[in-house]
Amino acid sequence: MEASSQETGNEPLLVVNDLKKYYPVNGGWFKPPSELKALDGISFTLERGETLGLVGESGCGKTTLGRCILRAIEPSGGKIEFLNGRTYMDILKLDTKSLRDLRAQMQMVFQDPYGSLDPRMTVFDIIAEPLTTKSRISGKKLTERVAELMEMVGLEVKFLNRYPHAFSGGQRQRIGIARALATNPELVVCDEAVSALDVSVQAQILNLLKDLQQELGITYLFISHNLSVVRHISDRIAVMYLGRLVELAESDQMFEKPMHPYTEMLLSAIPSPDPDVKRQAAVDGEVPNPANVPPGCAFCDRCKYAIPKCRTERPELRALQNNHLAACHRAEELSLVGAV
Amino acid sequence: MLTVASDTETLAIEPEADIANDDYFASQWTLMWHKFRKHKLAMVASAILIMLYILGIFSSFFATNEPDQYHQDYVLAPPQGIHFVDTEGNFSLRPFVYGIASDIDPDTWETIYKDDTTQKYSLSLFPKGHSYKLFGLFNLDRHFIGVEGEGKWFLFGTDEFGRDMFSRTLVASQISLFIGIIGVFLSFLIGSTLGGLSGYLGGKVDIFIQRLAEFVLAIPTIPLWMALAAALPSTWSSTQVFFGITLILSMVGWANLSRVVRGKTLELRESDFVLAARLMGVPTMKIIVRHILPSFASYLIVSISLGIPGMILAETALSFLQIGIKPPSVSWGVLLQTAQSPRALSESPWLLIPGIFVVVTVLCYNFIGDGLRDAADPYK
Repeated sequence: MEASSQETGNEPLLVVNDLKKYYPVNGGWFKPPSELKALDGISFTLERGETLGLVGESGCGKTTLGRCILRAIEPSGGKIEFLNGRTYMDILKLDTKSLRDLRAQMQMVFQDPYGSLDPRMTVFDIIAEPLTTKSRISGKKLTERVAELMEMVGLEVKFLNRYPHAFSGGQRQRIGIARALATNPELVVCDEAVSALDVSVQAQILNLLKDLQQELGITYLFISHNLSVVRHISDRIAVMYLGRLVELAESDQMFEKPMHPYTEMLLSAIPSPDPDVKRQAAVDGEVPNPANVPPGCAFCDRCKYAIPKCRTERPELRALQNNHLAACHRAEELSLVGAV
Repeated sequence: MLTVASDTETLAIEPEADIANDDYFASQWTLMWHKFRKHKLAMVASAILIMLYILGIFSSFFATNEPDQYHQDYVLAPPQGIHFVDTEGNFSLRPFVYGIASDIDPDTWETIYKDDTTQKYSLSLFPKGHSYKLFGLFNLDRHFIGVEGEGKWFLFGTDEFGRDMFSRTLVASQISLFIGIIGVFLSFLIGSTLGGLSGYLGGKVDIFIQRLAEFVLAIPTIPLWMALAAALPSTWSSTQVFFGITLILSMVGWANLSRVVRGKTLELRESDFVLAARLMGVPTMKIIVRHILPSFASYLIVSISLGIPGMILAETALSFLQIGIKPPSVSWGVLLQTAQSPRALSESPWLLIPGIFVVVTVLCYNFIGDGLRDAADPYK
């Protein structure tokens, strides 16, 4: 992590340190209440202008992580430091007012292009809302800015007065992106931003996001369960399993040579267009109950490489060669199969 | 990189040309209206209701007789028909009514009314009749339609004191039609405030309010109304009783509405566009006013329009049981009191005409509610 920030010569935009989100689980009449660890000590950094892909199965905490970073959900503990200008601010320590001021710097693109736009507002009102919220601009300037944003995301400006119901899923997602970009944010969290779209439209939106990044230098945290999508857009990829990061590496490195058995399993599940390729390993087993995680490695019940140590001792995320991080006791000795 | 500014002016003007009939530019309410217009039953029902309300509001103008006037010679007279052709086969474009001749049945000693074909009274528009005060302001004596001079015209017959049922039904509709609206408005205020708090705050407040609503819903309504109505002081004026009854009805009616509001608030609080607004830094109150409330305004309108008939029926039931509106104020329920005995029903069925008005009104509201419900979700 340290090395990568030296490489670019910049300070990271976001430093997440030991982020935790626990949900209380109420017990029954005779059952004591327990805690569900949705996020259990997540640490990573985000370089300015990079895209970090975040993958994992449903329920592993991807969305929770994205929302905790934006403080849409209150985390239970940890530190999220955001580089605002020249100083780092701990997002979790901000009061309501300064958090509201910082909101312009961090935005979100949602998964559901239907539910994320207020159906009762015109496209103009939707895109203008973040701009007018702190009454930054108004009048002709506002119209110009909204028109500029619409052009930027590839929407025709004449649709300005239409309502969201008049648009297709892909167009709605463009509206959502325009809204997220309205305040020129540094960080955009894309929470499954293309999962609800057609494959052809997915590609369009992904390329749009890439182009915008090049133009505006935005940093993305790109959450998805689709590895191919993540590979297409990400510089680095983080793999999550049951509220913890299990692997974090450069995108190509992760695909070529995964260091965690879970990543190998995910990669093996990517469908191949070649009919002659036989699947080596199917994804099997169930994710353990997150309210009752086994003491050792959370993945050990599904892992074909598990040794007795895995059941008793929890492996920490540690740096291996080439800025490759993995949380596996046997990371060095195993030679795992990637995807081409 | 972006040369947009110059285009915006031309582009801003372009859409306005076809804005009126283009659904793409239609707001929520326009879409709702478009869809509602296609619901024929609801449109007919609204036309009938509007007519009923006009009749009610201007009841003294449309009344053919003074509603409280006793006609001793015409007790329990049946409805009088309107004729265009007289017994000799002469056609007159102007409708007329015959005079009423009464006779005593020698066997039963009951009065029998017959058309007196020797007397013809033409109906005229805007005749001079009894004088009245419109809205308590204007002294008028012109009416919409009626007979002038000596003739009598009882379109719906008369009651046991010889009062004109038609005029009384119209006057009664004032209370019956408006008690629904006012009652629902009150329960809307109570219900949406409590429901909104319950949904938005959650936790203990939510539990308390919802259990209270369930408690109210669990009490059988008629005994509850009876108990509450019995608590109204007998010295109250008719206006006070009217508002007292409305209050009683809405005390019961809010519970259902509060659950609707709570459910929608809960649902929308978690919706993505509300989260998006929060992430933009929009203050909480603004989120509620701008995003949450408009989102279920249509649902509220539907449940309100479906709530009004319940109120009207409740008032009718209460008044019919003589614990609601009391004479000399009249509502449809009060008028129906006279039709309580089986004898009245068999011999003077026209006393039930106010009941038809109740049925028509309730049906109309239900049809409109149906139409609104279909129209409320124009995005599906």
